[in-house]
Amino acid sequence: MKDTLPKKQPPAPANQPPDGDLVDRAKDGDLSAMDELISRHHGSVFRTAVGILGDDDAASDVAQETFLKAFRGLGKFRGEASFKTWVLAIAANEAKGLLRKAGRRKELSLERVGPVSSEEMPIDETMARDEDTRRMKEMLSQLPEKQRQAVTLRIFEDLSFREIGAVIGSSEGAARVNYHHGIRRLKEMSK
Amino acid sequence: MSGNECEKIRDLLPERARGAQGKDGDLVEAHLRSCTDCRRELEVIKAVRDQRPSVPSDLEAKIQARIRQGLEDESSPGQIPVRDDSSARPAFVGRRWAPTWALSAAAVVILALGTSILWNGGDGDMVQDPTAVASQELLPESWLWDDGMVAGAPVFDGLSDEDLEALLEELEG
Repeated sequence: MKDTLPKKQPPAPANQPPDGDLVDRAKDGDLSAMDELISRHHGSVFRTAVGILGDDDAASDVAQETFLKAFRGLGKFRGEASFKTWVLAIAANEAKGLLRKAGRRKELSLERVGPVSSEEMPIDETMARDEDTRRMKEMLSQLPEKQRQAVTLRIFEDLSFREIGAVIGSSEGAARVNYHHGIRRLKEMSK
Repeated sequence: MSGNECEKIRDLLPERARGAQGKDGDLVEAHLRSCTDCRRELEVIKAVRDQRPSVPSDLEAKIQARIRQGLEDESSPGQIPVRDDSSARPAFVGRRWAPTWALSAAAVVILALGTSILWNGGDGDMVQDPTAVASQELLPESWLWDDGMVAGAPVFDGLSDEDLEALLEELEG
């Protein structure tokens, strides 16, 4: 029996049409609907690509190709998953394809430090925070790829395990196991 | 602390880490007060959340420009023009009918598949992995609209049920 994802419409911003409506309009070639879908999901697409490639510039290129492929293939989108899940699956596929082509596998870049607003922090606190950030980046980079993807998709993008499974190409149960194993390893490493 | 309760609470911790209070918010708070291990997990999740990469401010504009470039590349003179009023139907969006060459290719594939099924006696031994099927549903196959359009590959997957029926009628007629 075919395992299909439930029709899920993520909540649209207040007074904004849901993704499903925008997708229908985009299928008819409405550029403004495409622009709105890009605006809503480009951040998630970029972060997903960074998580796999560990490189901002490459992730930026992947994000562009992802949306181009998504809109080209929109006729095949049947709404069985949300548009966000679908486009993230394309992004993950694109990023992994790029890695395969390059014949290399990069871990999360240690240079990519998250948004730390250190200007108003005392120096000691800033240094401690930077050290924590660096350590967590190292720990994340040591996780196996599927565990890292499950952890970041769950925590960065608030995806359900079913959605994570669809993005990383596993079952819902495997996505849950990868997430919990990843968190457990991070807990052990941070002791 | 019971393992089952921890298991349930741990699924809710990412939501708690981003400051959202779901319907089980009170339950989560009560549990965290008494469970050291789940409190530690929450701290780890918050630390991971701090690693969320920041998105380049010009990325959205770059993607929009790439889409428009894609439209221009695929719209040749005499075909659908690209207009700035956002009402143009891009050449690549929502192809619902295959061109003549694709119908010819489709006929060849149907005959080949039919022959293959008859040859194997249609014994239904093929087992499909439902996960693989789900993945195929989700991931668009780039060759269908990239290389495939050049190489002459069939575009069955892009056809609606109505289009397939029409194709079959045409082939039978």
